[in-house]
Amino acid sequence: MNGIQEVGGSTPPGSTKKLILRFILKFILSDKNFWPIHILNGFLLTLPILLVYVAMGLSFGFLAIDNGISPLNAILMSLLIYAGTAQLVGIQLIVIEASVFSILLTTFIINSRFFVMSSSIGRFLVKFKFYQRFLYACQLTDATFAIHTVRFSRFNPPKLELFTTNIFGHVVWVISTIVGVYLGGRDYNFDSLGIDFAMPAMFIGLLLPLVLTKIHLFICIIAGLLTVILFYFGFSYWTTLSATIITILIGLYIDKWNKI
Amino acid sequence: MEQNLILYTIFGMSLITLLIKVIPAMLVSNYKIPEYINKILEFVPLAVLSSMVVQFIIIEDGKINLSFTNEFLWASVPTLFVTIFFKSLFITIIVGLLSIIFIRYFGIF
Repeated sequence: MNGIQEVGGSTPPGSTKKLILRFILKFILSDKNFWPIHILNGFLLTLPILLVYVAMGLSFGFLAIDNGISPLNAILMSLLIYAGTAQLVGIQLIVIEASVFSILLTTFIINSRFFVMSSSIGRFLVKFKFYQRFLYACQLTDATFAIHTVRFSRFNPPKLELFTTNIFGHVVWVISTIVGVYLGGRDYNFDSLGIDFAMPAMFIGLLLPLVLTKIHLFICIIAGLLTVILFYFGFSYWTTLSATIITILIGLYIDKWNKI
Repeated sequence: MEQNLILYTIFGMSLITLLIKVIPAMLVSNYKIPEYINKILEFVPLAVLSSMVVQFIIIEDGKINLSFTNEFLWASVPTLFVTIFFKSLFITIIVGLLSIIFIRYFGIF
């Protein structure tokens, strides 16, 4: 009783809202074991990337229709492939009537980065059941990968939260594609809204929270420099994968050397 | 290309993407991982994301462009600072979009 009075007395008027807000913030994004909170956390974590998904989905649907791909095919692409860059490049290749084999090979090269991402996130999924691991990996994207890596490095996030982010992201991606398809063929200029910069901005926002030590920063710089060099020498779609592999080899060497 | 052929191509693309995403996750989690693999996997997200960011902001129309005409490169400067300062993905994206709009409409360069 005394304690409550003291707290009540020490808080200036009008700060009850702040207290409630603080209580909510303390509850949200914590590891409390209460399932509606897990779902809510899932939504909250997806919120920032939704902006990017909507922007990308809209422009993808729009471009697909503009380049003569049927609405059903465009929507199926978002539903089944669910990888933004591969889809956009796929459209361009379909338009120039590239051979099916070359389209599939390009898809493989562009998406090969998921191979490393999937093995990286896979080590956190040990306690998952077989089908859960499968379902989780199906909906792996660059954004959810980065978000979940941060979450996993802090504690063991509940499955419900992880699957909420995945499913919510996928649904939004498909819906915004449908809207983009609907707008397709009309005269809109998405670039004037800066939508094309949404993806690079998202990657910057996803990358920086992962940089925790000096070695991490070093890895980022090396990877960036290598990317420029390799691209300059004509690695084009292979750039990301080769830069990643070389950077990791250098990183391992530095890490070992650092310990001695 | 014919729509039917496009449909089959899409099926092929999704199968490839699915296999790439699923196979490593299924394999990795089945056995105990040695220390150096853990180290590699710790570096992976950093290297992949850095490489992608650099490609996005430095390459314009398939060429390396470090001049003032590359809007993405200069829009990423305030975006970077805001990320370091606020550490919020949402603010980063909003500021990123605002800076690119600002650069395009007011044509600073």
